[in-house]
Amino acid sequence: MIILNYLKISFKKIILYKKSFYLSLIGQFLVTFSAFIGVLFMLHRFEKINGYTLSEILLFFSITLFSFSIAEGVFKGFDRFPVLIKQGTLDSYLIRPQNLIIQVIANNLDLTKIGRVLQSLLMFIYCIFYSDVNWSVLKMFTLLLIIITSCLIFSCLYIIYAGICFFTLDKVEIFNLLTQGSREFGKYPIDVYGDFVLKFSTFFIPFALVQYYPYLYIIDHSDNIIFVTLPFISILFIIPTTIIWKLGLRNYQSSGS
Amino acid sequence: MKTLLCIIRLKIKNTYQFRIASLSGVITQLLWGMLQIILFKAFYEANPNAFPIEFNALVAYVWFQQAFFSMLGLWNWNYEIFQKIKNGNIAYDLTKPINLQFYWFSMDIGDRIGRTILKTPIIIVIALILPEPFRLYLPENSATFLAYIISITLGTILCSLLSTFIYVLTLFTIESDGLKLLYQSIGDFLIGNVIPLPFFPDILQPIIIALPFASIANTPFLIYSGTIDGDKIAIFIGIQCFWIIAIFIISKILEKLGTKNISIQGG
Amino acid sequence: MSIEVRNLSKRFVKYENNKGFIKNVYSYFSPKRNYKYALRDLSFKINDGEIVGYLGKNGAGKSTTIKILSGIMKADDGICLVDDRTPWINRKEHVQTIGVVFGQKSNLWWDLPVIDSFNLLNAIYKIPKSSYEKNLSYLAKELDIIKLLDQPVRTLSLGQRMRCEIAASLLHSPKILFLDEPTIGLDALSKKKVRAFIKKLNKTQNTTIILTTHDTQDLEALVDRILFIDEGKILFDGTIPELKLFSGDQNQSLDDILIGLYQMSGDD
Repeated sequence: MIILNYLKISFKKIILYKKSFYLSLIGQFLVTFSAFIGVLFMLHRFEKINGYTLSEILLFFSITLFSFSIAEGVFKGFDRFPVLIKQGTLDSYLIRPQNLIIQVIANNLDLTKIGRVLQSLLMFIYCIFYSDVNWSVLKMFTLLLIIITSCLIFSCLYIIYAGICFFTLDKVEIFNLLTQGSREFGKYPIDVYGDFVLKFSTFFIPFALVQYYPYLYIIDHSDNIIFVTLPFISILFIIPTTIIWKLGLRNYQSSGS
Repeated sequence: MKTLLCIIRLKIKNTYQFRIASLSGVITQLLWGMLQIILFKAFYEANPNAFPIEFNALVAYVWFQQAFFSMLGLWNWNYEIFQKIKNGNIAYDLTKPINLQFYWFSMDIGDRIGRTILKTPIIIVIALILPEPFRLYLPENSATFLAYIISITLGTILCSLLSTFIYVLTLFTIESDGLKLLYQSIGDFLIGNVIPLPFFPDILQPIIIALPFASIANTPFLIYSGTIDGDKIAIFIGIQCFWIIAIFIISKILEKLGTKNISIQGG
Repeated sequence: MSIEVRNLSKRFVKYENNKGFIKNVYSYFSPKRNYKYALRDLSFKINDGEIVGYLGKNGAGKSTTIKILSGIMKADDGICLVDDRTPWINRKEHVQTIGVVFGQKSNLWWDLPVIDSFNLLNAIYKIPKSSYEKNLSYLAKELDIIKLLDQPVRTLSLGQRMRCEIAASLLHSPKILFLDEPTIGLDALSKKKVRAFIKKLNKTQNTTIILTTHDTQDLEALVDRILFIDEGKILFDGTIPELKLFSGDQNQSLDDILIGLYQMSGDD
């Protein structure tokens, strides 16, 4: 299958640039590790925030970090979109008879993010054991749902970022806020940031639907089962994502490079 | 000295070209800062006694982190220097009547100043007029402000000296990737960018403060808010000066060794 | 596999950078915009199996035409049909039938051995196994790249890389080949090899070839016909002998004729 071919290429590139791959891996690890230590320090000092305990925060953190790292590694091409456009790489993709999104993903896989994925996975497993959640089948299913839909939302954000890049190459820093910001501020459950941010994350960019509400159910801050279904609604986010991407591509084909 | 000013002027001109991008970056940073302040407010409300500094001091800290993001950052490298060292062309630089360390230092500090001139005043002015709890308060008195200006100048110089030190080390390691990586990831943590230094556990405070990274941003930010006051100001500025002199001397010695290396091996 | 272009036009919004920030924002939103026409009422027809030289000054509209014909860009007005298909609609079916070699940009994966790029293209273009193997051995032999297949693309010289790029563009047996400056930077021997190959390809496979080049020797060796574009319109469409007639002096070299055309066209 074509995906295997691309994977082979990505692995070959790693073997070629072994040293820089491992260095990157270490770097990613150090960065995530220091973020983790940061959260640890804060909760060591404050014990609780907004009614969440240390273990609850850490579990939440590991979930968002895990989903984000996966999305970041797979969709790295969209993060680099301004470069792809500038260097004409996008045109080379358009010349080939293959779906553009697949090409952007497959040609730009960032396998160094495996470091972050593994680290957050370890943290995640540790947090599960360390936490005092009363696990049930439904809760475990919710957890899986959270992870999958979080990856989905983050991926959509990357695609939206790229879609906007079609229109304006230099002025998109503010949208970086959505991708990098969601990782940075996604460390803590969204209600910590106040009512406005919570509403924004519920109705505009559905972080809250995929992470916050279902999580409340898991840690027994709420027993509203509807919360478990909310991630399904967030799948609708694909619609505006597709629209923006298609519009952007159309604009690119009209106005050239 | 004239070279330094010339370089600074060029860098500022360079930044002006990207002014639109800079302005959009300002909005991003404002939002970022506000979200951080909200987060800290939540912590504050959870347990005000555990908050190691005044809330106003924290607000000032956050805003200065944003405003001086480019000026005190650890990730802005001049890749041309690394390339020249790697492929040996650095030898050609030695044919000019320049002092490598001084030249690199000027480029680095020029870059920092150039990038700051546009964004920083805007962010600070806006921070001054934001509503509570985001408002940045003015310092208590002009003496504090003066001490702050001195301290942040020293901090910037120290930051550039550290970057120059990395360039000098590259003369020996040739490959810069590992160095940069370690420096950036560890440095970012120890400078207060992951969480502000006052929030580190109390037992670690003396160690953290002793390290050079703390003297870059943490010291001036805390002087501004009056967290460091009175005699302590003199001590902290003393630590800054100590590191400036220490790093300067060490990198000077290494630079001399390194350039001798180049002229012997021919690049 | 014919190409038909009728009254094609393409315009770009013109931005003036020195107007000052406020004026720039205003002009971005105002309804009256400054347009620059890259293609204006462009018309020509290219038949199956022709080798056409597409010439013009830089900025005359050459790369815009190529982009539209390859489906990367949409035209604003007019008709563009390649094999009765509009390139930018149904992009994937269209690009399956064309091959493109951009002189400056690479279609190969930089760090990897050439053969790996070829294998990946094989998968992307879904080339039938027998077809791929036949094409690969044919191209490798004709373009003399057998020894290069295991080398990473970045280690190749310009001439070697260009031969590999041409091979890459033909693996899927395209009916039309767009060559943008294929001999630029090559030494005389490599140029000769590439030209010989293109001629043979056209004879044996009846591949339609559109060649953009500034090299008059390329033109004289290869093209049946020349299309000269200026300011978005076709200034001349005919064979080389006709071009010489057109310019008025039978004995002039092609170089001089073209220089004359360039000077005549647009303002410099």
